[in-house]
Amino acid sequence: MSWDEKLIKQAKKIVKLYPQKRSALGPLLHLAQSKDGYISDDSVSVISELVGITEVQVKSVSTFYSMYKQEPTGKYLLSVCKSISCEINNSNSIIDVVKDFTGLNNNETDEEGLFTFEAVECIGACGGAPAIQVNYETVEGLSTENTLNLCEWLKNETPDLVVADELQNKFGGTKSFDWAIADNSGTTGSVPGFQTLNTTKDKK
Amino acid sequence: MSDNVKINVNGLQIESEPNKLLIEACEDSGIHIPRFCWHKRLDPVGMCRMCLVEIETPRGKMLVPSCTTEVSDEMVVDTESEIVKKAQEGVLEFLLINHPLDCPICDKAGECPLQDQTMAYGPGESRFVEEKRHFEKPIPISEIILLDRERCILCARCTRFSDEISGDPLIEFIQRGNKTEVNTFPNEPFKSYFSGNTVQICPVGALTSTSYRFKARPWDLKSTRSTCNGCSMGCSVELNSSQNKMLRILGVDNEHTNQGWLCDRGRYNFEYLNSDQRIKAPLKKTESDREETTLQEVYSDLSKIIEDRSNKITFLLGSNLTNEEFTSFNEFSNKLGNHDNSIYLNEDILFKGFFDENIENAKIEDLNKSDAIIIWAEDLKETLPVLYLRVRQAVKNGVKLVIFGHTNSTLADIADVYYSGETVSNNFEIVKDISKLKEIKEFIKDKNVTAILGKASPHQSDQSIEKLFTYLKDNANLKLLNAFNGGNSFGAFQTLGSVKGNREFSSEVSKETTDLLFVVGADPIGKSIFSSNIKNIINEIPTVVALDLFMHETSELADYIVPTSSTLGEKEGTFTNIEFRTSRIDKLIPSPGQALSDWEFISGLSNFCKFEGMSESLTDLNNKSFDSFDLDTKPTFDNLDKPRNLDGIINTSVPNITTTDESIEFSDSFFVGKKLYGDKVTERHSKSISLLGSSQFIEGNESTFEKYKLNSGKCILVQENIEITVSYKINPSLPDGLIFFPKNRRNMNKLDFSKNIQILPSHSMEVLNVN
Repeated sequence: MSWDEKLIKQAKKIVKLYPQKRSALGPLLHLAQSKDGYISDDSVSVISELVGITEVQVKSVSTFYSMYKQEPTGKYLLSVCKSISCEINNSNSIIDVVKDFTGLNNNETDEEGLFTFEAVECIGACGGAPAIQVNYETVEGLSTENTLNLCEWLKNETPDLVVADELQNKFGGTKSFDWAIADNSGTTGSVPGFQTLNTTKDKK
Repeated sequence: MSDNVKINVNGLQIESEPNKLLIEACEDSGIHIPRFCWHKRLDPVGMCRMCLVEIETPRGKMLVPSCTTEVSDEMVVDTESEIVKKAQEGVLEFLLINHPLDCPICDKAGECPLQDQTMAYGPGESRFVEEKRHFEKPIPISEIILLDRERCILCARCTRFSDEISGDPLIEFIQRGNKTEVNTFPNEPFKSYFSGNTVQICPVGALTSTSYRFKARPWDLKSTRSTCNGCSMGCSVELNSSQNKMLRILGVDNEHTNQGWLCDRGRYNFEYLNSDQRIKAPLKKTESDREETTLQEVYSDLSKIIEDRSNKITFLLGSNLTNEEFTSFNEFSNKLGNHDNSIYLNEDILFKGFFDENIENAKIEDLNKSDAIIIWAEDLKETLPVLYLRVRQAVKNGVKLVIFGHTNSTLADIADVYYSGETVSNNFEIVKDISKLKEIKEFIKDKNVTAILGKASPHQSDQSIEKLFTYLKDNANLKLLNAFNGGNSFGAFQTLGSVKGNREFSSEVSKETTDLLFVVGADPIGKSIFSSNIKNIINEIPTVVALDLFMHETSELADYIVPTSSTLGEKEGTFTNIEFRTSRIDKLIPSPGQALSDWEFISGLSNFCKFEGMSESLTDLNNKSFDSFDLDTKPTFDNLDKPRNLDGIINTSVPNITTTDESIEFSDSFFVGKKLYGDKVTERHSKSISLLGSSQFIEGNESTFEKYKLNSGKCILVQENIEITVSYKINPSLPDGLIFFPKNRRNMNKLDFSKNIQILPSHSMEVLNVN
């Protein structure tokens, strides 16, 4: 097994939460993604053993959901919302700016491994449309100008950690409400967007 | 039946069992609803939407998929309304968006449900001008199966089959939406014993098999219904040939036996029929070599030996012959005055079994109806693969499964109880008091139990299995399947009068007792565990006649070799399976050269010897085979050819197996068994599967191999002056200290299992040096 002992222990704890082992598949895939930033074939093998189904069945689930990344992402995952609220607030031009700046099409990663661009469905920030997520940290009320600034800043400063509040202050506009993900270590964080274990406790 | 529901379909009143799926109820009443994803033997998914029909609901008429809708009383259904037609046209238009129009080079064209249904229900023209999606064409997903993802319409029949029926889901949908494709995991090929079934049920040409690809057009195929003689399951098959070459075998849905499924060996082990290595003319041994001779000369030479009444004549028959041929040999042997059982069957595991008027012989369908299934036999997945599927199906329907070790470990994960090391010793004895095994008692006490019993390894003692049998008989309402797995062995048991096996052959036969030996369709030297003994015996006997398809280790030693027809597609006859169901074996293609059926040879020889009162035709032999059976409908050709008897006729005539009770001396550190794919001469000459049985290995658990200090993945088996390098595979369900030898793999016949076998670690460099 290519997972270390600690991760296996965590995985087994997740498996135990469910009456049927294979129900743990989703959370385990998140765990795998938190390890490598994507679902590696290695992780698929480990998970298939943990939940007692074949590798291709795990692969089938992991490729079905687009938020399980199948390939390593860049250092910064730029997810621009393209759903209805953002779209009527001009997300198309935000997308164009990001595309132009990075030179990437949807779901592509640049050669240096700095940026990955994706246009995504609703990220729940309709109140502050148009919005973008950098490593799942949300920035609301974007303008095309600020989007460009955001990209340039990321490229020049290359911060190791991006934090929603900081980004919002620097580049955001109207904010709908406070965002507080306990973990902001990006695509390699414990779980992007949500956590499966001790959610309330960690968030305080 | 009074609780049937009445439904109205297209203005017609039809009756159906309650809770039946609408599509099935309609089908049973002769109303066809088009479909792609629905298959009678698989769970419904409602994926393709082709089976949409209109039903009346309190909210008005509604389109519903008939494959996921159950019938209810007074349901009103319209399968042909304008709306339904429009829906069908729409579904087909959508399915054809991405389906390539490569029908001219597609194997399925001509028998393709998509083609046929587009013709019958399609819109006639498409409004789509967009580019179709493209994939690499085709990709191999195993050694025998190819996948063309462009043609796939995503009906999920193949993935559901491998998940629900065969239990080895190695193919699945990958991605979703417009990008969905069927595929395997990288480096994890679709290595299933049942993968051929997915090719058969694929409604388009997405899955194809290497053996049939580009070989024929379906409308050129000649076909006939027959019975597979690969194991004693007796699956119903459809044989397809073109230009007198066998090209394909399909499973036929026989409710009682295979329900449409086949194992891959049964499906693909036919290419040998077209091999140019087949023996085509009789051969006679000369001082240095062999020369072609005529059948007349063989008859004349043999008749001289036969006419000398002091000469003793013995038969060693393969279990792949037809009932009629067994009868023919029996008749011939009786004519020779051989009343002391001179016929042996080429089977290693033969014991007297559990045949008795007081023992109820189970039918295969009893598996589904019983409360529990008890298995102690050779590995069903390797030796009776389709019976393995039926056991899986029964367990899925809620039947409890109890398995005694150590052979059926492939069923262990669905078994309720698996008795391994602590209960069953390494030489296959139950070491605990059976009546004190709590788990089994709970499942069988006064319940309907179907047992599948046979020897798990040739060295298992008769008493050990009888102990379990007696316990089951005393405590449960027992029905029993005797797990003899060799071809038509049940036919042999019934028609031969009395049967002995290889063990008896190697201990009883010698040059003193035999002057002339017929070896018919058997390669005991290549495949038996008594190989070396039998080789010595055959070498000793003055005259040996081999009737066979190919030259192999046994036929090579014969003085006369007569080419024979294969039971697969080259001769007519009947076959009796594990539940004593007799069904038809039919002829489709001519035999090569001068090859003839075994019974024709015997008939010709008896004519030459001027024997009187012998059966002269196949029909005579067929009638004679079942003469003594106490049945209203005997399985004669006349009866079997009637439509209602196509699935075969059951009989329960009690056979007579006269084996000796001696047990074989065996070290309890190993056991032998068969793998589905092996090194048999027919398999070697079937191109597409020839490599599947080529690897040589032994199996054991991790700590066993640790004791032998194995670590390089390879080891050397040493016995006297024999050295064989094999790989070793970890099988965690085997108990400590027990090692499995697959006897039908190459070189395994060189080992004498009654003596010690040393297992030494192999250091890869040394092996390289030796080579």
